[in-house]
Amino acid sequence: MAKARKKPLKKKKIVKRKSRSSKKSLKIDFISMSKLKGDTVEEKIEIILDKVKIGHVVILDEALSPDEEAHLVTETMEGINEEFSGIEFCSLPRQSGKARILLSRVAKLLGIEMASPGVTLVGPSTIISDIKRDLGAFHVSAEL
Amino acid sequence: MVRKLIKKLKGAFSRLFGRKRVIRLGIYGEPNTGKTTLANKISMDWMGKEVGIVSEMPHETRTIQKVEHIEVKAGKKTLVMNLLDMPGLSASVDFKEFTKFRESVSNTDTDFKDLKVSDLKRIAEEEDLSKTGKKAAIIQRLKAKISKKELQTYVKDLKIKVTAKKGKKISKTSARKIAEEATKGIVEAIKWLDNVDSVIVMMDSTKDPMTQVNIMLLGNLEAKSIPIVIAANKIDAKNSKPNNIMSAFPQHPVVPISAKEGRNLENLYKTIAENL
Repeated sequence: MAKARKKPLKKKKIVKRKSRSSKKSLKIDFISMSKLKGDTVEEKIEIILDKVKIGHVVILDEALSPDEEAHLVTETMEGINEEFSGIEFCSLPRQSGKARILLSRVAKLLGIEMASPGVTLVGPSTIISDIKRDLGAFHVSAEL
Repeated sequence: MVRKLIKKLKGAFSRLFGRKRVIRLGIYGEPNTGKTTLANKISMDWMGKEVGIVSEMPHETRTIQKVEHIEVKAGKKTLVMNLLDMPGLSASVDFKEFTKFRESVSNTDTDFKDLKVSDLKRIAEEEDLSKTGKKAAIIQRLKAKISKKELQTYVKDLKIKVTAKKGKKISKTSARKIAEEATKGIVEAIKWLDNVDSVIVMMDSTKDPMTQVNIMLLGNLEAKSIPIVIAANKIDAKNSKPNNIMSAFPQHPVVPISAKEGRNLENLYKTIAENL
């Protein structure tokens, strides 16, 4: 009896899986207003920049005030080195009603810091390549 | 509000005693919007000297450049000011970007050897000197008679074209130093927001004005009640759209200008004077 010819085995395609470490991923930290409540401007900026410096994008559910933004830029400049070349950021305040404006003015007079509702995004300039902004929105392009 | 009141009182007292108030006018904006070009133009027109070097490289101005006591005619008024050309504001400074550029060389500092023989002969003729001989001989005769400063005047008056000098490529070491200086300059410029009386916010009219740096700058100036005039610069460029700036910031006066060509500067001075 003739031996049945064995079919040649098909070579299996070896698909190399990329190791997890070689994959780049975007890390986003959403931080709520309540978490930063009571923090000074310096503390708030430190929390944001500590995350941005390790490559995270930070999103806050509040709009930074012009003074806080100036602090953010100043602190960023003081932390720039060969690994960290700075930030891209965008702050979008929510349109406030008359009652809210009045309340924030009273709070200011009493020396109470009130966070303004809105949204802020801060990310490393090496990742955030562009931010386009219009009246009620901003559009972010990121590169990994 | 208190700040505004103090300013008004100061102004009233100055007027009462007939003394002209010297204002500290800061020129702020993002890098490459033409701040130094404008400062140079104002300073050259009214003082006859330049403030700083203009180049395509961002953060060319890394320290605050001051020109004191410039008197500028603004319509019927005279503005007396100390002009402060600020380093460009930005939230990032990447040292690698600077290695793409060459070192800046001042083209206002023309040397005799930078000129063509024909141009040297023209100057020699003006000075009643002999035009004969080789380039070196003419230079020798000119050097004996006129100073370098006088040479610059001849270059300007005779409209002599001088080829732009090229600096050497910026090394990594120099780029790191530039980046360090640029970051310090930005911090310094932000600190100076408390020491200016009025600000020209320079914006490039060929670009999108709705950047966070512009918004941050205007927000801080508004909070400090500092008078603002936005200069929509580069209207000489084909793709200039000053209307975009006007519609983005309707709450502030916007004056379209070309700092390079000196276009519409009278209107800018007038608007600054009206806003004080």
